Amino acid sequence: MNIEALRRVPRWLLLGLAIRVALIPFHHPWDLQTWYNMFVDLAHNHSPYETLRYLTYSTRSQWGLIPMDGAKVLPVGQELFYEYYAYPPLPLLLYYPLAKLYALFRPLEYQFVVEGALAAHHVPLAILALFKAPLIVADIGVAALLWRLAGEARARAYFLNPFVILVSAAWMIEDLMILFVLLAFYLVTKKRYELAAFALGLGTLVKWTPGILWPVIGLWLLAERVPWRRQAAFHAVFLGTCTAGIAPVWDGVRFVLQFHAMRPGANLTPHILLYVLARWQNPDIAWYYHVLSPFVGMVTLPLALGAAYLTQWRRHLPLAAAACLAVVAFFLGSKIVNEPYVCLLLPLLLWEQAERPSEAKAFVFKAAYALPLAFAIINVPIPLFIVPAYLQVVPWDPTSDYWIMLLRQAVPGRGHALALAFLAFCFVGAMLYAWRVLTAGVGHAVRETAHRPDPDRARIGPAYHPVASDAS
Amino acid sequence: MGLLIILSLRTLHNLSTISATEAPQELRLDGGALTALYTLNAGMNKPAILNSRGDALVEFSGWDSFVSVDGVSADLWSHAFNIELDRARDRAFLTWSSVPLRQDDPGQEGHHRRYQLEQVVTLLGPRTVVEYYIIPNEPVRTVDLTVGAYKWYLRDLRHEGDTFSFLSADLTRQDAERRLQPGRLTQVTVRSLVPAVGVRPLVNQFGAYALDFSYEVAQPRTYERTLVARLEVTEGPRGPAIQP
Repeated sequence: MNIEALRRVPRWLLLGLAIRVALIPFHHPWDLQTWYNMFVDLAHNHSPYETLRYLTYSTRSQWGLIPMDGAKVLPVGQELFYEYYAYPPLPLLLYYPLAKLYALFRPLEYQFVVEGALAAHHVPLAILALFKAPLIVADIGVAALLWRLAGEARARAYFLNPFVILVSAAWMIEDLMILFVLLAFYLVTKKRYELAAFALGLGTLVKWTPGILWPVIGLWLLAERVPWRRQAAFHAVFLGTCTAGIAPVWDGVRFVLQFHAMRPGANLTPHILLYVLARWQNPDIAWYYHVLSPFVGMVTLPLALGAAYLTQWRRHLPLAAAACLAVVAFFLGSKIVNEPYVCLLLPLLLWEQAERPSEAKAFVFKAAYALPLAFAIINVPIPLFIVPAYLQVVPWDPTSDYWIMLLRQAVPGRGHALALAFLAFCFVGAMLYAWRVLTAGVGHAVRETAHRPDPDRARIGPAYHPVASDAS
Repeated sequence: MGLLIILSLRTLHNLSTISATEAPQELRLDGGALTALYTLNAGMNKPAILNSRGDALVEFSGWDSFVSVDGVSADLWSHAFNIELDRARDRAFLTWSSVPLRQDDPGQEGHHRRYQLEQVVTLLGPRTVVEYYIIPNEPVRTVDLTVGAYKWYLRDLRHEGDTFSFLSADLTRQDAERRLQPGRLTQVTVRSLVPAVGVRPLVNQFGAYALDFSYEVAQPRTYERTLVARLEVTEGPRGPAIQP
């Protein structure tokens, strides 16, 4: 690439890339354990689903000591599952050659702490780089697609968003999923429905969440009176892609689905009250944790999603708004909304904002990233992201897990629980407000910029600044 | 809506079943050729390995297996334990916890270290692999484990390195000590798959009745599983003759 070509690359893109590269040594400790051991599994030609199964039964047998030592966050006597690789199989396919490549040069050994402890493993920098390289590429892809869908300003707003950077550079594989989701919607807007179905299927094979957007596009095709044969082709390609990806590993996927079905609620949902309850109520809260919470989640999720699809159909919502609404419904109905999940909503909101700008949507966008970011800072808490980088420079010690665990236990429990509960309920409130904004047209629509072929040309301010000058 | 209600009730039922605690007298993991039998109210049979005819090939003992963590020793039966069976994979997980040792020693909690010892039994056709892992919940320096594998009695015992082979009879201990003739004799091999610091048969007036395998690890990782011992029990061929 010559200097002139480099000059044409937007500075914000280079800045975002530089930040992501600088963050390579930093990571969420528990999730780094998952990704590292996924590399080990793949290097040994071993299924991560089998490892999940092994660790789960091992965890179920480890009854008694960790909760009694007060080392666990929740006073539950027995965990039913080990939190390891519980995703669809596509990331395994992607990372298989990279794991094999690394294993050519260095041996890889498993490193797992018991469920409930904190992981402090020395993970070689090369593995961190190999793991994050595809994610950085995916992030650039998301920005490029967002540029096409919503203009440069909104692509920049996404790429430089601190919450997006935290998740994509130091936490999860959300951007890989988002890339396929945005590609699917982009292809729908270009009337390439079969390819869109394939992209959405790939997204669902990265993480399960994009599956909730399948009915959104299906209903939209129905409302737009797209020919039946093309609608059928869309559904057939989506289902065929998912089936082709899942069938070879069905036994493992079935175990993963059990894990998700029985998983207790947590984080940015009202189920955070379990944690609050645990801080004031010392006896074992296993019944609330293992029975009530999953049951409530099993009821609320289909209800919320069903309400969103019904609303989309009755109000003839545009595609971007309907996609946002389905994701919002997922957050309102799901028993568990981990902070990274929220990343999926952000590019969809930016797209919707480009199509039908309003102050209210700008506010929802800000709330949708600021609240999970604040939650993550307190919940993880944020200094623990430094641990993998710290272990790059100091000699690893067999007792590292213990000292890190002591740091985690030093966090004042009740204040921590109350702060998290406050943020979680603010998030739920923000999502309820988002529902209202997306369905009732709350806010001041800027009619001039709506439905322009290039929204960037028509923009009248930064991506998420309030725009009210020509409102009403 | 009806479907949702049915699904909800079914889910609630399943969740309640899963969270319920069963308290049977024994557990059996049937692997086809071999079976692992756990007796829950006694220190023996942790587990006993049975062949397809129900004859015990060897019994891993809780009473006569010992773990010593930073010099403080206790038999495994003095620990709390919990068992989970993965029947689909013919695997059993048994974890001993040092909690009762600490609770029974008020004011001296620091005397006994906080740890768990996990045993994983995998049935692989005519072979069974038995592994022991230490999981310290605080920094520890050394862990010594002695695994006692019993059979009343080990007939025609042969020994080479960390491998023992013997004939297992279909007799109880009392019948064997009354010198009754066995109806069946089964060839059994017990082999240590990681280097043991010591192996020895235990002998009384009636003959050899147990095999002791001793292991040692230094500085295991806290909150992580560190392999201490791995043994293999095979229903099958014999080793060379034991030297007197």
